[in-house]
Amino acid sequence: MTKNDKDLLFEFVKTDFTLRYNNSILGFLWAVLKPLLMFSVMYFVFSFFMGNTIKYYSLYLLIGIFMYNFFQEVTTNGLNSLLQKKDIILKVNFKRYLAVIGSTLIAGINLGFNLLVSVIFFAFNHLLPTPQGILFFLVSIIILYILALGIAFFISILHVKFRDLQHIWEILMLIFFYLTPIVYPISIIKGKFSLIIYANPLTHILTFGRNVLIYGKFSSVLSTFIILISSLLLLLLGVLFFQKNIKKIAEEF
Amino acid sequence: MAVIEVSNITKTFRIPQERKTQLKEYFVNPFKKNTYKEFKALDDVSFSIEKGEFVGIIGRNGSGKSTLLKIISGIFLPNKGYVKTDGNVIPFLELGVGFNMELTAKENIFLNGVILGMSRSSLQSKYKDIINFAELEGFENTQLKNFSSGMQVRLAFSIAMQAKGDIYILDEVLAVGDMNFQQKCFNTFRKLKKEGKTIVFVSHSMGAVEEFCDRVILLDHGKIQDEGDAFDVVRYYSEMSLKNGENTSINKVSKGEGIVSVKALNLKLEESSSFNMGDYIKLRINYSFKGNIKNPIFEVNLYRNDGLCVASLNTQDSEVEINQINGNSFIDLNIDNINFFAGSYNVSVILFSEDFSTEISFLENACSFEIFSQKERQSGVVEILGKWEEK
Repeated sequence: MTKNDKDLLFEFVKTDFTLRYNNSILGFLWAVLKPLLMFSVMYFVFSFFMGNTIKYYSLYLLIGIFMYNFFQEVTTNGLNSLLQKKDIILKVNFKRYLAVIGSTLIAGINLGFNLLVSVIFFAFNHLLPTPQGILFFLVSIIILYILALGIAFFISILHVKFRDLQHIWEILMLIFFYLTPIVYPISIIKGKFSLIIYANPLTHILTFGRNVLIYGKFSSVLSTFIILISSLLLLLLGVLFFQKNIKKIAEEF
Repeated sequence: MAVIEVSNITKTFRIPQERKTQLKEYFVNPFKKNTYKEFKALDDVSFSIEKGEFVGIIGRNGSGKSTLLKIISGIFLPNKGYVKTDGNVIPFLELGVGFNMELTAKENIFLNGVILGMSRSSLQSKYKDIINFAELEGFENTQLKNFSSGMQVRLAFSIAMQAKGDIYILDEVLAVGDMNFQQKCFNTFRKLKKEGKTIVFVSHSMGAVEEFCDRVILLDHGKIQDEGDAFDVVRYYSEMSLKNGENTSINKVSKGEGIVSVKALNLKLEESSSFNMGDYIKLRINYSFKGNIKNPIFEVNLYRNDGLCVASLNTQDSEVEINQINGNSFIDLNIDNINFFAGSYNVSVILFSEDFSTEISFLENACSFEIFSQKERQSGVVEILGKWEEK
């Protein structure tokens, strides 16, 4: 990546950031409010059933929602990135993958704001994550990002060809929210159903991240490591797929 | 030394007739094939451009000029052949690429500048120059949506001027802006030319092409029709257009033929010259021709009395196909709800032959009318219907 590419990426992210936060005082609030509202509803409904089975259920739910929200934002922004920048793409020749990466970085900033809010919840529960816990939590976020970015490279191209993909993606995201142990503990799932839950890579990343941050214990380490490797592979394939198709796709905008 | 080498480029576009653009359609009707119509935009085009040359590309609409520029700029891939460029290519296919209306002038300078390949640090140092040149001192922190279109164009141009490359690709940049702005453009071209930059320039303005270009390439239906000295090629092109015009349309219009008159009629089909805002207006265009005119296009331009063109409509854009006209007859343009603000307006009508290739008849100030309005606090040109919503 040359210096100019970095400048371009910086401007893309700055634009997203300005539009989202600067232009309305509520910008920051909205970014935090959406997942918090989701948390409140979920907590209200599910804490009756889960409250006793999971220690620190509020944190369990909150961090789960934040992580899932991050994954959803990265993939959805990536999905829309090419069509959103089509005016630039049809007029100037820059490295197209920067459009995809640029659109996903704002999700990281949003996650940062969300995590700042979570500090309050930790304090409320009289809990202090260990430095090691925080570090490995960040590792889980990076793995999540690699996975999401790999997917984003595929679907950004496909979205140009299939314009209804965003609706399909929205529904998929809703389905996966419940196929990932966010509101419920993984132990609650028994029988045939557990296979689907375990096959979902998000299950392992979220479990790993949440366990190190909240409970200070390592779990799903091996599966998370396997997911890291396969996510890197997916990202590589995604980039290759993207580079192979992007030049041809300019005509279909 | 050739800095741009275009070698046997062919570009075919597949224009979808019935293309599936939704996944849904694959489920609903999986066996229906996508049908395409092939359109050859460029057909085996080769040429090379030397360092420091100022080359013009001319041709009618749809002759492949823009496609060629996009391929040279690396935005489209050719189906066959290749393009080699040596040096930093700066494409100006449009001014103000990436401008965002919600951002301030300052933010847009950095965004647009970086998109054009400038670095943030160089933009930082040229920032004052850009603002001064665009004459926008004091508006740095104003959102672009509050700028007039003239201010936006000035800003865009002033950023573009700072882009430093070896090869410039210019597409119709002159089409926008007033005389003053065009002069600024020309001055910049002269400067770039003096600095020995290589420039590829697409324009419909033959005057500009003749003045600046060392060499001109004439494209027609995706092929190079003529290439060489600017003066010769431009003359060849003008002759070609004239001949084409004669083939597709009619013999020259003789005296008394053409658009005879235009009348403004009200709802009762009475001729009138005063209307209220929101009224119905029927513009009846009477014409008279001895011969047949195939596939004509009518264009109506509405001017305010200070010369501002408020609106322009033509039958082609409105997707009205007229097979042929002859004899004495008329065509009506119905305006259901005239939303011009109070003032006096006049109408010009132009009749073109097929594809706007030649102007057959032109009637300036064909009729005029007055618009009245009861609303007091009005300024601007036309009324747009906005809905207010209280917080």
